Amino acid sequence: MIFIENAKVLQQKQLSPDFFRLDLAAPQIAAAGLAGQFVMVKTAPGYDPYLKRPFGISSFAGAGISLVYRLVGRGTKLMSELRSGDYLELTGPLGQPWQIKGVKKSLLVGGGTGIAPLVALAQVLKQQGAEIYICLGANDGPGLICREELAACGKVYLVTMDGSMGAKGLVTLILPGEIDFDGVYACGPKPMLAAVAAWAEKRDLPCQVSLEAHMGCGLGTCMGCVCPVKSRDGQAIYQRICREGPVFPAGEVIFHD
Amino acid sequence: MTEMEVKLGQLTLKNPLLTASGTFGYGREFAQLYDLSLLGGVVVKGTTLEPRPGNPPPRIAETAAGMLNSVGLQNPGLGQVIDQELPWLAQFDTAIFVNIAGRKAAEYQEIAACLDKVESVRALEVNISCPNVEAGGLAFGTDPKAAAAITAAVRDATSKPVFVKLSPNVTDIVPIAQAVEAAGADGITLVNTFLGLAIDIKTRRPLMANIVAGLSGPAIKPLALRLVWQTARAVRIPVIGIGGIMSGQDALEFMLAGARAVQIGTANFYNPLAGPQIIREMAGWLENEGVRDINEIVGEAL
Ligand SMILES: Cc1cc2nc3c(=O)[nH]c(=O)nc-3n(C[C@H](O)[C@H](O)[C@H](O)COP(=O)(O)OP(=O)(O)OC[C@H]3O[C@@H](n4cnc5c(N)ncnc54)[C@H](O)[C@@H]3O)c2cc1C
Ligand SMILES: Cc1cc2nc3c(=O)[nH]c(=O)nc-3n(C[C@H](O)[C@H](O)[C@H](O)COP(=O)(O)O)c2cc1C
Repeated sequence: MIFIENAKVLQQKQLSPDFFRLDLAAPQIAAAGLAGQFVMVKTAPGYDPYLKRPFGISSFAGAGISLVYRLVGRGTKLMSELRSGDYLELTGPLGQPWQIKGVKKSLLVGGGTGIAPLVALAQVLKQQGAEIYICLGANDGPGLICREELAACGKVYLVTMDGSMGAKGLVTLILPGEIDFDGVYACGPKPMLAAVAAWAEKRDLPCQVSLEAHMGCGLGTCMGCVCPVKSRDGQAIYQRICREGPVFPAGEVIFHD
Repeated sequence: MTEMEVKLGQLTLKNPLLTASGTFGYGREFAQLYDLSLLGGVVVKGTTLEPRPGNPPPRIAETAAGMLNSVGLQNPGLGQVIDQELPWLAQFDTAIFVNIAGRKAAEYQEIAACLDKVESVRALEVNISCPNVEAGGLAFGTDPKAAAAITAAVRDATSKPVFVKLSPNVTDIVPIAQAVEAAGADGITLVNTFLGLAIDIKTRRPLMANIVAGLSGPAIKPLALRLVWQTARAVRIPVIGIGGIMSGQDALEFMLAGARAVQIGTANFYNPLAGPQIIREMAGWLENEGVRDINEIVGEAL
């Protein structure tokens, strides 16, 4: 079921110079949503910007959801100006959630804004008693968002491009030596997803990745946000990130062009 | 209550609002948000004989008050549309239009012949205006002779009403509209998207993999309105107006310009509830103005 909700802003918190967290009262979306799903956000009342913006649901709390987002352009700038008591129109929950059934030992890999949607995943995995390893990468220390929420769920390893926090380099540098994970989950820039997918494939670990694309509708009707995936007969077909995704089994995704 | 029923030749719609091809899928997503029976009609995605993969991504770019798309007719093909999508959509009391596209006249004809046998299909909308495919599409829609040939081929293959969807990417719409009318079209739909381009300043290259793309949304409304007005003055067959309609007022402007019905495309993305809202707004405005029947205002501005 999809809902359109006029969500009340409970709190807006600046996490770093470019990152914000919006806590929103959205009872229908909070009740129906699952970790890995996203919402479309209407950032302005008029036609500027015109399209809605997709954001992963970062976490759930009772009748509320949180979005954690980076300042990118006009839409996110407008979102950052919202204050407690303002309203924001959301459409959701949308897309396929992370598959978590039966997972006992999990590895979560997040890069940049891709860290945000891992919080809800870590929280449900923790609820089902899974062991959780979390590897996070960002450009710099302040980019390592949601560290506290994630540290409350599992063991967190950090890496930054500038070396200002954790090891220096890409997140693939700190992927663990163990190989007995029954769930690997990755969200972040495409090259990172490709690297994690290859790492998992080599070790024969079940891996899921969450993809991004510019979206027209977010609902599955405009066919705008497709990515190439392998169909059952091995052929490349275009599937909608908003509908068949954003979470895909890593083995199905065709990363190179 | 203002009478909202409109007649497009033989075809009666409970109200003049349809959802435009390619912006509504087959209705499944929107059916989770409202009762599709509220709509005058649903025009399904451009359907081709065989499944089409569509163009490589990226396919979408936002523009000022609108968007560019280069989807390129990705669709599951006629067989699946007939077997899976149309039977599902037929549960609603709304007129189903199937938008069809092909590489040559014979392909349009074959699709039309197959759909002629599908009872739930109320009309065909012949897409000779898709800017996002290499063969066919736009090439047929910019030349009166080619447009007439496709129209005649489809006309021969079906007894259902045939609406031909025209491209705005022409110097003069009138000869094309007249050629399509002379070739037996029951109506004309316009406009499809305007050809546009987006450039990525970071890569210094065109943004879309397909390079050119189609512009839609409120940005195109005055352009579309002018084309609808010119067409309605030049032909006798009913015209369905499309292009940037976002509100009941916008829709009524198109009807004053001679459209007997309207379609909303990109508005469905901006506001998924746009369909029923625009119908309510139209009815409310007419009621306030004391108009008894919506047909009274059609073409008043011609
Ligand atoms: C499923 C999904 C989940 C996402 N979750 C998050 C999240 O949790 N946190 C977060 O910070 N960001 C997330 N993003 C990216 C976010 O949608 C963009 O950063 C945002 O749309 C930028 O809007 P803007 O107006 O500020 O930027 P502009 O650059 O002005 O936007 C212009 C257009 O490009 C689109 N766009 C720009 N960047 C992206 C992008 N990376 N992905 C998709 N569309 C883009 C916009 O939606 C808009 O249509 C997610 C994207 C997807 C597809
Ligand atoms: C994503 C997208 C896909 C479209 N696909 C089709 C299509 O398959 N066939 C067609 O005739 N028109 C297609 N169109 C054009 C619309 O039906 C409509 O003519 C156009 O968008 C202008 O109306 P609007 O401004 O209300 O969106 C598409 C438009 C968009 C935005």
